Amino acid sequence: MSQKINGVDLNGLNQILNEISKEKDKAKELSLWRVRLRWLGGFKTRAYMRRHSIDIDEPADLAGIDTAQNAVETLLASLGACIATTFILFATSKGIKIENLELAIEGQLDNVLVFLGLEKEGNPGFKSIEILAYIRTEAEQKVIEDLFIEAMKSSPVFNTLTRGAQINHKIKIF
Amino acid sequence: MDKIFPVTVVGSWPRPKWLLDALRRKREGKISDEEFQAIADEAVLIAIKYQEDAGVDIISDGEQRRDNFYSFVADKIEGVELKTVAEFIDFAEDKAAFEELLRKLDVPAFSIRTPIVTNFIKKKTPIALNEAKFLKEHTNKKIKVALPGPYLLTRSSWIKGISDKYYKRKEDLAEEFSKILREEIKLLRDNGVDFVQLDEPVLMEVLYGPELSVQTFMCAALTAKENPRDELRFALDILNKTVEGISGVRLGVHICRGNWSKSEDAQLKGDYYPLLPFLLDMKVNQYVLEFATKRAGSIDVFKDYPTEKEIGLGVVNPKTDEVEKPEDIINFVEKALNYFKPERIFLNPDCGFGTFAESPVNTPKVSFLKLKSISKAASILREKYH
Amino acid sequence: MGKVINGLDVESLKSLIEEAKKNQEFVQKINKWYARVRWAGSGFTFNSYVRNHSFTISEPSELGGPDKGPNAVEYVISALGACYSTGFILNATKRGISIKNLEVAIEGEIDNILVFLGLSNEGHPGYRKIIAKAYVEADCDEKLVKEIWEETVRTSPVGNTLARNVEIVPQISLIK
Repeated sequence: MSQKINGVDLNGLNQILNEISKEKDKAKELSLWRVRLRWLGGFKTRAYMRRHSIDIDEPADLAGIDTAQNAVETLLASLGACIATTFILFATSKGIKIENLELAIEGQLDNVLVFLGLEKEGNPGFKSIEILAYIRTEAEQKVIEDLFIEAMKSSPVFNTLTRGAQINHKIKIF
Repeated sequence: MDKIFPVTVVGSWPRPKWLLDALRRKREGKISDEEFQAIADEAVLIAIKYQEDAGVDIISDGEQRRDNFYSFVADKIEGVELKTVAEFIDFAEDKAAFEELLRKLDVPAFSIRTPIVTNFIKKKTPIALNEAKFLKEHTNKKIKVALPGPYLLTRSSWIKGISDKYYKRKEDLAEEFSKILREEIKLLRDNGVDFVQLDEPVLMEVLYGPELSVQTFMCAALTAKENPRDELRFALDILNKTVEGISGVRLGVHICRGNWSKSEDAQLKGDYYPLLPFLLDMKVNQYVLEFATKRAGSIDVFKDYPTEKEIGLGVVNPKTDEVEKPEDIINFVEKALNYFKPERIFLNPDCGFGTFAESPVNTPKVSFLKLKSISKAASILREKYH
Repeated sequence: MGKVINGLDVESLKSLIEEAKKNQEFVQKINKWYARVRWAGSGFTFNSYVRNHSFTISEPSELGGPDKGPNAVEYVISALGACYSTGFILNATKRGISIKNLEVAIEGEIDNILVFLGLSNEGHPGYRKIIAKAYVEADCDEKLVKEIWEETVRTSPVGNTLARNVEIVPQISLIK
């Protein structure tokens, strides 16, 4: 029987890693991610990806009907989940058992008034994001701290946010 | 005759580190309950000694055997299980309130445990009889035992989607808790307990929780969206059902605004005024209320609601490091004399010193000095008003 | 209720913007956002909690996960698309322009996924390039729609977050 750590099958994981490192096409495939969003009226949208879909809406005090989290909250959650994923991946590869993991994320927008069209200059995006990681494990504090920082630095979303991605956009009118 | 201005405590005492270690090991199944109780015996003796030395007249066992003032019932009642917020957050109706609480406390959801009803409930063992017996054997003072009130237990443990499979409405569950507690109060009385105090901190939350949107995890059900008056009426009825007609023991109800951290900002705020019409209908002998913290508002709320009941007057704030001066305590008690006769005033801290095992609000040293200050004030007051 | 355009009450939208002009406290509130992510305890599944909402983030089987939901990088581009959509509808409604249909297709390319997997040190594992395509159906001047779109892209919180550098500060607590 294969060994499971943190609910991940180690042999299976190694096999996957092996394949990806050998096959260039595989890595290329996993580098491309696609989503399609449909507007549902008001500020509500539904995003479709592979066999999944998620809703995104605005809270009532921003004129939405609060059927779901909004875009910036989704972004913060994805940052947290990405770091958590990388952390679990790295811990598992090293054979470190994690009992519990929880991240509290708080993001401060630079100037929301730009988004509302009330100010022309400035950055309506996040200026800083704070992450509180709560971890329960038998491993030593220092080992876990180092592992967490390493995971964070290898996280795709963390890198996207800290480096800045190039965004190209087009519009087609029907 | 009993002396006037008796000094007492609300319940908990800060636990020594070795006791916390033992509590953790018990939780992890590394030591048995028997082994844990033997360790806790030693901690209780220390708590007794501190209170006796400080001149407290009616002492408690410092709640040393409990992880907090209400969740320990999970060990005593079948069908009640300790669950972490992480385990039931998906069922909670107001997730945002829990998020706010976790942020305020800076803790993860997996670290906070609360008792949840996951089956039909049935008493396994007496709830606090072992505590009372040990305390009685080791002191000549009068003794007080605090129990979580029926409303607190119901509100904290009934969760839609989990508990409603067994108790369709939280009112049905409240009846069962009420019966168990009533039986327990009689048992404690018959075993020499002088004072039984029912803790009902959630009542303040019904009033002041929604506006502040700081709610505690004691309110797992978080149904405060209901009309507060209906909710308070329900709380009053169930409390009266629990205590009505029981004599031979002093019965008190303790109502405060939270004691889970030293930070004053993290607790509720607002005076007792809107609660008084309900409070006065409670069939207890004494209200144990906080007044040392500014958040509790003024004692003058009793101006419009005169009562012949006793008051357990909160005269020191367990959360602050500064020790209140006896003169200041006396000044405050003299204000209370406008509304209560001397023989009806008991003196105590606003709340316990270690409500939650892992996050006591003070050190034993400061707690001791605060109690001593109350005793000093009490002896001066006795001279003056005997 | 006043005039409704694009499913939004124009009057209340205006008063919301007025509120943001003068109420500093309100602005501070909507400048700050929170999320909590909990590992589900086994494998690559995470539950995210935002106010009264919760959702699942997972990994596809190609990456060793149980595929119980979109993964984190899919959520990121969803957030971008939703942010563009929200901004576009906001800016159109402010001008009284009614939109019949809006769809945004997003594609993001990771610079080097192998870094994430711990298989390489070259490049970085973040998105290098993201392409967003908006499809709009509306009865109005094409130029105006384009202008609204440009404004939306320029003022998008998520767009700006992704395009600029954000400071991210971690704090790690080991819980006994």
